Formats: sequence, C-alpha cells, structure tokens
Amino acid sequence: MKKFLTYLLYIICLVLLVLEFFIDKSSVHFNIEKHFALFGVVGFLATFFYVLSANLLGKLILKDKDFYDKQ
Amino acid sequence: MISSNIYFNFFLMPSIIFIIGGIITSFLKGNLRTNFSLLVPIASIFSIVKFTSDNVFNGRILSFNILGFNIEPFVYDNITLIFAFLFHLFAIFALIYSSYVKNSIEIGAGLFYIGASLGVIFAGDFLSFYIFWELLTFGAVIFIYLGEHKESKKASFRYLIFHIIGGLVLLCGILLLYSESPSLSIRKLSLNSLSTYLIFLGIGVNAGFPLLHTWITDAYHKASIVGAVFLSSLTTKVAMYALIRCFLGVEALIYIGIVMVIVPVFFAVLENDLRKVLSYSLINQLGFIVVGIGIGSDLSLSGAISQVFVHVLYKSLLFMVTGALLYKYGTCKASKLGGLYKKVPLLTIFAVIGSLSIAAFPMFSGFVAKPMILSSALENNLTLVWVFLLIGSAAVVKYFKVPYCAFFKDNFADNKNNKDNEDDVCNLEDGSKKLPICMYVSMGLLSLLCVAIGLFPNRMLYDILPFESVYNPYTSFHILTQLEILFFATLSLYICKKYNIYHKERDKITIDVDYFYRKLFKKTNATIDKGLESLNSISYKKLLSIGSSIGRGFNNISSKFNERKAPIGITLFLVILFIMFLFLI
Repeated sequence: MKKFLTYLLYIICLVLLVLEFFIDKSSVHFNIEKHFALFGVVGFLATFFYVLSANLLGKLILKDKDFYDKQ
Repeated sequence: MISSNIYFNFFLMPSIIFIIGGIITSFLKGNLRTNFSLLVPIASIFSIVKFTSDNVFNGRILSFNILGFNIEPFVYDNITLIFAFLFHLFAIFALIYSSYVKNSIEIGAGLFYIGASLGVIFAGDFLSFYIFWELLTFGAVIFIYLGEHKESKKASFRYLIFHIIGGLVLLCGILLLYSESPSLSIRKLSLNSLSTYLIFLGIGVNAGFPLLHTWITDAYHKASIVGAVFLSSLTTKVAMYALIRCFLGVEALIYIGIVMVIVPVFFAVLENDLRKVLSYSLINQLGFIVVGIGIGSDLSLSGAISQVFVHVLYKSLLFMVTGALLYKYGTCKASKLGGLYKKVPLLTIFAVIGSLSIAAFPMFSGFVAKPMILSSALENNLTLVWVFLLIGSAAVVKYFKVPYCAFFKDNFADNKNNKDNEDDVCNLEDGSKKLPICMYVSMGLLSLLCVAIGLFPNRMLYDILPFESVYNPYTSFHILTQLEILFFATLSLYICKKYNIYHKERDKITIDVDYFYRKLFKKTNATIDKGLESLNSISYKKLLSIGSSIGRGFNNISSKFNERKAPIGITLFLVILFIMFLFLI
C-alpha cells in the first residue's frame, strides 16, 4: 500500500508537470505566473526550507515539557 | 435625553441578547439549557432582521448621549452584517457541539463571548467598542480557566494580564484620539500620530501581531475542549474586523502579515500538541487576512473577508476534531496518537476535510478564498509579497499535521527506532469513551459547509461579499497550479521523511517569545528578589544596631521616669489641669 501511494505521488507530480504544456496560459494576467513549473518548484523548495529551518530552530527552542516548572 | 424606545431597542441589540442569554444559561441545566442556548442566536437573528428592515438612517440605528459622548452601539453596513452572520452561524455549530458539556457556566461564557464579539462589530463609536472589547477578554478567560491542562489557571491569568495591558493601550489611544479631534465615531485612521499607533497596537494584540501573539499559543491549547473552539473563532476575527474598519490599506499591515504567514510554520512543524499546532496555523492564516487588509483593494478586501469566513468554519472544525480526540483519548499530542483511522473513521474524514480546506485544495473552502489575496498582491504589483504568500501557501507540512499525526501515522513503527519516545505512546485501546452524537452532528455539518462553499463559491460566499466579485477560482490554470504546489510540497515532505530529515514528534514543548515573561522575568525577578533580600538583611542588621542604640537611650530615659514614678504623677497633674481649664471656660 505504501509503495503504491509513493508511486501514485510520483505519477501525479509528473502528470501535473506534463499538463502544464497543454494548458492555455494566454488568459493568465501576470507574467510571473507563466513560468514553467514555478508553483511546483516553490512548493517543493518551500517545504525543504520549512523542514530544515525548523530542525535548526528546534535545537534552540525545543525544551522538556517541565521547562517552565523548573526553577 | 434617552427615550424609553431607545432603552427598549438597547435590550433588543444582538450583543445584549447574547450577553443576557449567556448569564441566564449559566443557571440552567439539562435539556432546558441546551434548548434555551440554541434559542439565543435565533432570537438575535430576529433582532438583526428587525433592526435592519426598520427605517434605516445610514445604518445608524441606536444613538444616545451619555456624559456628553455620542454613543452608537448599533451601526452596520454590509461588512458588519457578514461578520454578524458568520458569528451566528458559528454560534449554532459551537452550541450543538458543546451541548454535551455538564458545566452550564461554560455555555453561558460562550454566549457571553459571542455577545461581546457582536458588540464590538456593531459598535459605531470607540467607547462602546472599547467596553465590548474588554468584555471579550472575560468570556475567553473563563474558557481557559476551566481547561483541564495543569497550567490552565496560570495561563488564564497570563491571558487576562496580556489583554488588560492591550486594552489599556487601546484606551490610551482612544483618549488621545479624542483629545486631537473631539469625535468618538469609528473611522478610517492612518498611522501618523501617537494615538493611532496606540490604537493599532491595542488592536494588534488581539490580532496576534508578531511578538504580541504569544497569548494565542500559550492559552488556546490549555483551554477546555469547547473553549478552544470558541477562542479560535472570535477574538482574532473581531480584531480583523477592527483592522478593516480602522486601518484598511495601511502598508505596515502587509509586512506584519508576511511575518505572520511564514514564521508560525516553523513552530507548527516542531510542536507536539496538536491544538498548539492549530494555534500556530491560525496565526499563519490570519497573516493572509492581514496582508489582504493591508493591500486594501476591492479584491484583497473581498479575499480577506472570504478568508475570515471560511477560516472560522474550517478552523473551528479542526479544533472540534482535536477536542474530540482529547475527549476520547485524553490527549491530543502527536507523539502519543497515531493510526486512529480504523477506530474513528468519521473523525478522520472530518479532519481530512478540514485540512484540505485549510490547504486550499480545489473543491474545498480555502480554495475559493485565499487565492484572491494572492491575486490582489500581483494586481497591485507586489510581486515579492506574492512570492512570500506563495511560500506560505505551500505549508503542507502544517496543513496535514493533524490528520497525519492523529489518524494515519504508524506510531509504533515510528517509535521502534526512537527509544526516547517509547514511554510516550499511550495505549489507544483505553480510549473507550464514546463520543457524544452532538459532536458528530456539529462536525458533520461544518464539513458539509466547507465542501459546499468550495463547490458553489458564488452562491455560498461571493454573493454576500460587499463588492461585486469578478473572481473565478475555477480556471484550469488556477486548479493546476494549486495542485502543483500542494503535490510537490507533499513530495518534498515525503523525501524529508524518507531520509530522516524531518523532525520526529516528541513529548517536548516549543518556547516562544513568552519565554521572556514566563522564564526570564521570573529569573530577573528572582535575582532582584535575592539582591533586595541581601540588602534587606544588611539594612536590617544596621538598623537593628541603630535601633538598639536608640532603644538603649529611650530605656535610660524611661528607667529614670520609672525611678521617679513620673508618668503617672505627671499624667494625673495634666488631667486635673485640663479639667480646671474646662471649668474656667
């Protein structure tokens, strides 16, 4: 099941990229939105950014649950 | 002069109906209480219909003079009515959800809290605005105080202090504003004087501005099950309304909003308590609304109002789901939950619908609201703002944390390689407590509404917006790009998990800016206390020596007096002298 879902995720991502070739972008108002795979790249990198930054931040702000009770 | 008609109308105001209804509800029990509490929002809707269908004078229904101030507690326009409608809708769902609660005070506090919220949004002058603004705090504090968390009582006290200080800042701003121009009517302000800065800051406390947001993340997860649902939907939304009224189009809001969109996501990733994850997520969603208000165009305002509307619905749904988990399993910590989709399939469906809505997945409510704010940023040539909002929209890592951690994650497998966590996993078989039907009904209706708004945005949402909307979310380009951002973010998250880059949930807490007043102030206080104590002991010793020498001196005198038996003799002599003087007079 896990393998199936993983492959499904890969396939969906691939299909979404392919679909971008077939979509009519002439009615899109803003040029920045027309870049190929822009949204995919932002989604992918943003999540990496969140996870890595959170890991670094975690070293500083993650404390034991009785942190505020300790004197 | 106040006529009796005005008195009559005053008590028919929706806010007063809710507040009085709340007080009465606190004394009722059983079915009577449930039925009565549900009648309150219905009565209030009738009152609004009556007021608005009456002879409307520029939306100003009630107006009277007290101590020379012109008080207008019931003024409305289209935006007010949308918020009022939303709060009534929320009231009905929240009251259905909370009908299982035994403590009537909790339900009474809920009605009181909604009444105060309605009071703020209908207020036409800053004085009545301020009074209801402060009443909001008292409704909320009761919910936090009644929480079952070991820190609930302390957190409620911190909440009270935080909001009283915020309220005082707001009051100072209002008084200064009145001294500058003798009018108390609520109007659009610009940030150009101390008074407006103070009002901005006072509203900012309730809006969860960066550094002022800690009351949200400190208190919400410590409130009672029902309390968190009420808290998540009222105070901050009322603040959003106040920002729309007073600071629409103020540029500073755009930058404040961006910080609110991005920063809470890191905390949401690290946090273990799912209700606290939702609290950070709430700030992230508020950030979008604040940016929308800051941009100030018709489209961005429509986006902000739509976002408030859908946000109240899906956020309260998610808080209801986590509340149900807390009710059934006694915990909603990510490290202790997992794999519950087989045990509570309906809750799983509700959580997934709530998360898909918050993630703005096509066909769910978030999809028809949030993108309006992004489009308005581009429309106003704010490309960098748009990029930040896009990064904020890609926070799949937070959107799906509740359904993933509670229902799908294989907790035991996850913990095999993580020995620190072994004690954390609670025995979920123990969760035999049956969920009340009222919870299912409320969550089911909210889920349906989230889907219905996503499917029929024109009829369900856009038609009630103050501006005629030309926005169409269902273009093939928009659907494709939104799916792209969400699926690629999921792919990225999957890779992070696979290569163990993703942080594993452990029973730890995240510290926030509240560290400064919860720990550092305590430390500073302790240091000052120690310093003062040593000073005290030194001065005590010194004073003691001085005192003893003075005492010795007095002792010598008194001993001399004692020897001559003077005090009694002298006193007797003085008394006789006094009586003689009296006779002479």
